[in-house]
Amino acid sequence: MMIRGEKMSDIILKMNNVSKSFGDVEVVKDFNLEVMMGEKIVFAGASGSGKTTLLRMINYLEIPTKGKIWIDGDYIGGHYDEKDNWLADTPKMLAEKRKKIGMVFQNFNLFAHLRAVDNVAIGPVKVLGVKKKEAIERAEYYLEKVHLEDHMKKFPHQMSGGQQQRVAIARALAMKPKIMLFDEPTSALDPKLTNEVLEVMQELAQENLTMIVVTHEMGFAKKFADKVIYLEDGIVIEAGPPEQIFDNPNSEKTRNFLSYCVFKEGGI
Amino acid sequence: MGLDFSFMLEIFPTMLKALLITIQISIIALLFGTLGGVLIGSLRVAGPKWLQALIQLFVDYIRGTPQMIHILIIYFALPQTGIVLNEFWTGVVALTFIATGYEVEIVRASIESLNRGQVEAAYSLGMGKWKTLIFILLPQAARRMIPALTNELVNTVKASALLSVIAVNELTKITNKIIYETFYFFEVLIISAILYIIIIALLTSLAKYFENRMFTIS
Repeated sequence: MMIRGEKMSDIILKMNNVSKSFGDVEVVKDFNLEVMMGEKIVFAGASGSGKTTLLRMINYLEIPTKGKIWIDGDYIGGHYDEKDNWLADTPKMLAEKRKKIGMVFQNFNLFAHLRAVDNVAIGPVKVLGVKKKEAIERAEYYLEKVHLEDHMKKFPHQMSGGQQQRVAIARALAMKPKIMLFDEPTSALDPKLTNEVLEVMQELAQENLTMIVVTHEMGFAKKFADKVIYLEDGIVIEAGPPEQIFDNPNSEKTRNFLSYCVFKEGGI
Repeated sequence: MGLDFSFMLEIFPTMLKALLITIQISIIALLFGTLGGVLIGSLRVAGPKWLQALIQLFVDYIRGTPQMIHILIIYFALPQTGIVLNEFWTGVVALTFIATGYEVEIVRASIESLNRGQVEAAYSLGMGKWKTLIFILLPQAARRMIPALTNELVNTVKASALLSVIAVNELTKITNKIIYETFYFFEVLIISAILYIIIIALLTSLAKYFENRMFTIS
């Protein structure tokens, strides 16, 4: 067991016996996971398998019913006091911890009243206290990184879904997070735009950034992931490197799921 | 029915002066009401639960009782609390009170009509409730509020007529006064109605102008 509060050398995320129920329905059951710095994880599974809930619990947008989640030195949503009592985080503490966790949503969720560059700069300015000029430079840097140098002055409604999602990725990156969460980032996009976004993610994967991705794009998962976790009804059916999951699955259930998946040859 | 035009011309300046009071009271009340509406409406959305309940009680009270009753309550209650104001400012307080009640609802509805996803995005950046409200939600809600606020402006101008009962020298009070003194019903009422229509049309188009400007994204 890990010592509370102490920084583990290479582990950046630990989920211990995490469960989540909505009413009587248990959507995640006793989930355990350790993620190493720089590791790329993919949560796979049919709709309703609990993978999105799992991801949302990591930055406490969904509150676990049971279990604890530890990220880079801190538990999220709570902490121990000097007497070892478990206390819930104040909203301020939670906001502080969320700075380390970038999140990209299925529906982009860009701030509709801000241009692309301001969407990216607002976090550094209002949350990190970066000077405006510096934040704009930082925003421009990350927008270039997601190949949007020609769209910086556009409002969200003037951009395609793929462009909006790339702004959302830049927005999360500009906070310089330790870990990035992607919640079905391409589910709202057509195949061409999907490709745009996946290419950017693949480029990010080259850097030493820890990424956890919920996706239905199994071709992408195969190339991208260090570890694929296949879930059904909130339970891990199989977890392992993509070669194992996709080419040599142990479980009948995994095989069955994969038989419905389309793998694109070539590209992503 | 013959109208006495020379009489109408004669009273016109007096009525115009009364109209000016109507406009002043309405605009001051609406400005304070909007300020109060945004502040209290924000607390209604993001404040502690007990405060939200208290604010809802206030809103229900304002919406559930006639405006005339509020005006009389303010008129009689204010001096009791040691605050002595002249008729004009008593009228402003009463109308502000009413406008705030309605505007809290306008602000709340505008904020809640925005999609929840942006709130989650702001939280995930490490913004708290108030930063999210101030930097993400309110700027967008402001645009949605304007049509409803225009409506509230019209309501406030018309509600100001009720201030005649507490002897504020606004348009309706002066209208009544001239009628009682001269018994020229139609002449006075026609001018009064026309002045109300003109001023409401003017204020509405002004609001429309702002609305269009705010919606136009360069």
